[in-house]
Amino acid sequence: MFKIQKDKLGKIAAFLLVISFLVYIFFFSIDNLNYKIILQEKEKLILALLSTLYISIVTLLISLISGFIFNLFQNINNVFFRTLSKILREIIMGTPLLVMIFLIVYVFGIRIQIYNKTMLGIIALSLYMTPYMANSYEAAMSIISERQYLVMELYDFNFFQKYRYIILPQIIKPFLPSMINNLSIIIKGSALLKIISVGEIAYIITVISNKSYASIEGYLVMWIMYLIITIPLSLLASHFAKRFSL
Amino acid sequence: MKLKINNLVKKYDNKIILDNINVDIENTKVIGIIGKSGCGKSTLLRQLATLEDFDSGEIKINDIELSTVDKKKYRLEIGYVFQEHSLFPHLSVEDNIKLILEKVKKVSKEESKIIVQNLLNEFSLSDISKKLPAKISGGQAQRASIVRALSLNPKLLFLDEPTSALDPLLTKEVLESIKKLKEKGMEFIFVTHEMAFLKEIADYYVFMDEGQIIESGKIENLKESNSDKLKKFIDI
Repeated sequence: MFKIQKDKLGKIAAFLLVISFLVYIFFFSIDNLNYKIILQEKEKLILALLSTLYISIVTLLISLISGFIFNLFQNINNVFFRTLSKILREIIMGTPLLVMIFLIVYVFGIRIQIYNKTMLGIIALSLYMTPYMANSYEAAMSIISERQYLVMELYDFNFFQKYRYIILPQIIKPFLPSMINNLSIIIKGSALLKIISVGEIAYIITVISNKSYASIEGYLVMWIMYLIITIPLSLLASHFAKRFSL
Repeated sequence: MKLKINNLVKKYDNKIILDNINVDIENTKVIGIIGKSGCGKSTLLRQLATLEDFDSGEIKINDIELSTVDKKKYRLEIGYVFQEHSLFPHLSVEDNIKLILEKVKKVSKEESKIIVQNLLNEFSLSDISKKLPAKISGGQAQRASIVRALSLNPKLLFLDEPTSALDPLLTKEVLESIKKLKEKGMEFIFVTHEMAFLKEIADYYVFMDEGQIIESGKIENLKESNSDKLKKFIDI
């Protein structure tokens, strides 16, 4: 009983400390902070938030598929595809997202004559996330025992049957927390799309704050907007991880 | 059942696991393979079920040459029970069997329902048919694995130490189920370390040691064995 109360007090104290710190940063760290300049562009901020969510969700969906295919290539019997996917994995994982965006927009985009920056941004983010998503699949699929694969082979399951009836239903639960964490990474990564002028949170706030010389306020609002999206996602991931822990 | 193996060799990473196996058995319904852990008996069973490819030699089961057989067709005629139960953990006992019948073997829903109900009744598993494998005992799960293997009406069944992961009480219920198979006239090949069970169930024994067949023969001749290794193993 005493321990539970002690735990609660510990949590409250930690929250209070963080809240005090945030209040200090947002209201007292710098003199004459004026959030009105940023917040008066409420509609633009909401649109920017929606744009970030749109880019992130589309990226998530694409990388879910590309990560799945990438994972298949990593485990395929064909040496060519297996080696190719391993090399690509090392290259992509070693490439900073900023460089990836530049390559996709100013090399790939110009070469194939696509000038839609949002689309190119989504392609860059999806490509960047593909090996991470493939790793998430790999980790989730480790719960399928060798024996289950043998049974599938014995009963001559085809590729679709293996995934539809046996593998996917079992990996969804362990995959969820990792997928939500990846979504958080995508949302944070989408801030870099401001360098190609895609109208997401980071870009719109930069534009607003540049107009009004309120860049500190702009970054602080930007910070809060990302936290509003990512903290619930992180809590959701922890919830799923606890609930479905195997 | 006819089983003929000539000069069978199986290697894992250049390590010889089955070393020139030869056997010729005819007119036998139940074959029991015995031997110490790691002697190659489970490996031999996997070759017989075409779960693995062997390096050289020849296996003929009921005149079917396994190195050239259409594996898909052959596997339709056999069943395999692993050391530990092999039920899919996210499906109920009933769905584990129905999935194979309906989705993989394209048996109609009505027909599969009848097959599943009859088999579950026969093996006293009806009460747990809706339960997930994690919610039933190891013995029940292993019996359900046997039922799943039987659901396709195989001509030949392979059982790889089906009781090795169970405690003595649960072992008994699985062994009773296997006895039932013999009573039904089923042909099967099993790997075991239960000597009493071997004597009771098998018509023919194959004793292995260090990847080789040391001795094989009719079960009634087991006591008259000339092999010191086998005598020592039986004493164990």
